[in-house]
Amino acid sequence: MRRALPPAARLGLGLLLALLLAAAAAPWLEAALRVSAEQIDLAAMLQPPSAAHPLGTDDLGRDLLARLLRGGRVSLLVALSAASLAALLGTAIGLVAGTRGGWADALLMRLTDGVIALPLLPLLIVLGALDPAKLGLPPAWLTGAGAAAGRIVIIIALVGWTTVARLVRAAALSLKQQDFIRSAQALGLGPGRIMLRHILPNTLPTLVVAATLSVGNIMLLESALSFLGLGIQPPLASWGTMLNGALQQLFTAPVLAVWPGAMIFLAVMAFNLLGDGLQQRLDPRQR
Amino acid sequence: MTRHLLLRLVQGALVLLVMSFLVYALMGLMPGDPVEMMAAASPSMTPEDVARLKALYGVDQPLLHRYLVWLGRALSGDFGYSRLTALPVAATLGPALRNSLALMGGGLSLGLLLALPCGAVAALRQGGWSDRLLNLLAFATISLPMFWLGLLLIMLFAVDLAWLPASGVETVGNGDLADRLRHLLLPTLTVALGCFGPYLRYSRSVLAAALREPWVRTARAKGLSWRQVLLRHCLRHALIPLFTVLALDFGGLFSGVLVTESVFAYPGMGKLIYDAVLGSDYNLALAALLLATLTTLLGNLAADLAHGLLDKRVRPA
Repeated sequence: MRRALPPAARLGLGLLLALLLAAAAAPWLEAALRVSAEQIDLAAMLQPPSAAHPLGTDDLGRDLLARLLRGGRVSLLVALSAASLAALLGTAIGLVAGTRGGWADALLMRLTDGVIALPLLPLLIVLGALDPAKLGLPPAWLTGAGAAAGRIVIIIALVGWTTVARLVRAAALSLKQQDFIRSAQALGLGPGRIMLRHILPNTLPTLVVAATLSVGNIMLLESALSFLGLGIQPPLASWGTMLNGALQQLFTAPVLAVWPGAMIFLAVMAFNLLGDGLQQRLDPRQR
Repeated sequence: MTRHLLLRLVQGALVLLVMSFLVYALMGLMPGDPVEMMAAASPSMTPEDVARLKALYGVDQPLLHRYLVWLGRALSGDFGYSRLTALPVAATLGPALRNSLALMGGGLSLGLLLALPCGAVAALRQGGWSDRLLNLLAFATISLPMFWLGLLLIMLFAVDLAWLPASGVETVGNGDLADRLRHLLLPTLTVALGCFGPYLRYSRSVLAAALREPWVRTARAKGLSWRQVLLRHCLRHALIPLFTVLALDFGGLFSGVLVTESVFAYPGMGKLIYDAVLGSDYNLALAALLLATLTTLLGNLAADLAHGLLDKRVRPA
C-alpha cells in the first residue's frame, strides 16, 4: 500500500529542495543578481535593502543575500556529510551489536550508553579547540578552508552516531528472529553474508528515518559550535559563523543576526518535518 | 533494588573514570603549553628555568603517569589552581555550578509548566486542529537554535523595549533578589522555550497512552468527564514516564544551558567551560567537564531511582 507523505512532510521536502537548489546554484544566482559574497566595500557598510543589494549589506559592505547563499552551501554540506558519516558509524555498530549478540553486543551497547550519558556540547567544545598538529597529522591536511569543515564533520560524527546505532540494533534484533533469516542460516550462509545481504537491507527504513531526523540536530550542533567560534572558521562561513560575527553588531545592526538564524531554523525545521513524515510512512511502529 | 542501584553506581563510576582519562589525554592536545606560556610572559626565564619548571610540574613525565598523579590528587579533593582566576579550581566551580543549576531548574520548571497543559490539550483532541497546531509548534521550538532565540529575546526585550537587562547576573552595586531575578528572566525563558518542544511531545504521547488504559473507560463509565479523568487519573499515571524522560534528557538540557549562558554572558558552568578551554586553563576545564559529566550521570541515576520508587511494577526484586 503506497500512501503519500503527510502534508507537513511535503512542505518540509519542498522547503529542503528549495534550500538545496539555492545553495547549489549560489554562483549563478550571484552572477545573475550581480552581487558578491566576498567583495568588501567599506563605502557601502550596513546598508538597508536596495535594488543593488536585495537584503542589504553586512559590516564589511558584503552583500547579505550572497553571504546567506554561500553560508547555506557550507551549513548544508557540513550537516549532510556529518549526518552521513554518523549514520555509517551508527549502522556498523548497531548491525554488529544486533546480529552478533553476546559480549560484542554488551560491549557496544555499554559504549553507546556511555556516549549518550555525556554532555555533548562541552565535549564538542573541547574537541573543537584541540590542536590537530599535536595529533601528529601531516600539516598539509590541516591547512586550507576545507580542513576546519572536515574537522567539524568528524568530531560531530564521533558523538552523533548513538541514536542510529540503537535503532539499527533494535531492528536487527527483531529481524534475526524471522523465518527468512533462519532459512538463510539453514542454507549455510555465513554470518557476514546474512548480516550484509539479508539484515542490512531490511533495516533501511529505520536507518533512513533516523538519519533524516539526525540531520536537523547535527545542523543545530554545528551552528552552535560555529556561533561559539569553534566551528567553521572565516573566511569560510556557515550560517552559525555569520551569527558569531553578527553578535558584535547586535546593538548597531540587529538585522544581521536575524537572517542567518532564520535560515538555520528553516533548514532544521525542513529536515525534522520530513523525518517525522518518513517515520509515519516507513516505520510506523516507532511512533 | 539495592543490587540494581549498586550496579548502576559502579557503571556510573566507570564511565566517569574512562571519561576523566579521555579528557585528560585530550587536554594534552590543546594548543599551547602552560610552561611555555609562562616563559613567554617573563623574558628573564632561561631555558634551564623552563626545564626545571617542567620537571617541577611533572610535565616531562609520560601521559599515564601524569594522569595517575592527577587522579590521586583529584580523589583527595585537590584539582589544582585555575590559571584564569588564580584561585583553587574547586572554589571557582562552586558558584558557577550554583548559577547553572538555578538556570536549569528555572528553565525546566517553566518549560514543563508550559508544555504539560499543551500536551494535555493535544492528547484530548488527538487529530484535531489544536493537536496539529501544537505539534507544529513543538516542531518549531525543537528546530529553533537556542542561541538565536536568546539573541532575538535580547533584541526585543533588552534593546528595543529596554525592559530587561541583556546579560550578567546582577547590576553592579545592586545585588538584591529582585535585580537578580530580572537578570535570570531572559535566560530562563530561552531554556524553557528550548525544552518546550520535546516536553510537549513527551507529555502528549504519555497522556495519549494513559487515555487508552482500561481504567480510563471505568472512570468514564462511572460518570467522570474527560477533564476529570485526565486531571485525576491520567496525570498521576503519566508523571512517571515523563519524569524518567526528563531526567534522561539531562545531558541535552545541560548543552542547551551552556549555549544560553554564553549568549547572556551568564557566569555558569557552560561559560566557565568555554572560557577555560579558550583560555588554556587546563585544570579548570578538566574539572569543569568532569563535573558536567557527573551532573549528567547523577541526573540519569535519579531518573532510574525515581522510576523504581514511583512505579512499583518495575522495581526489580
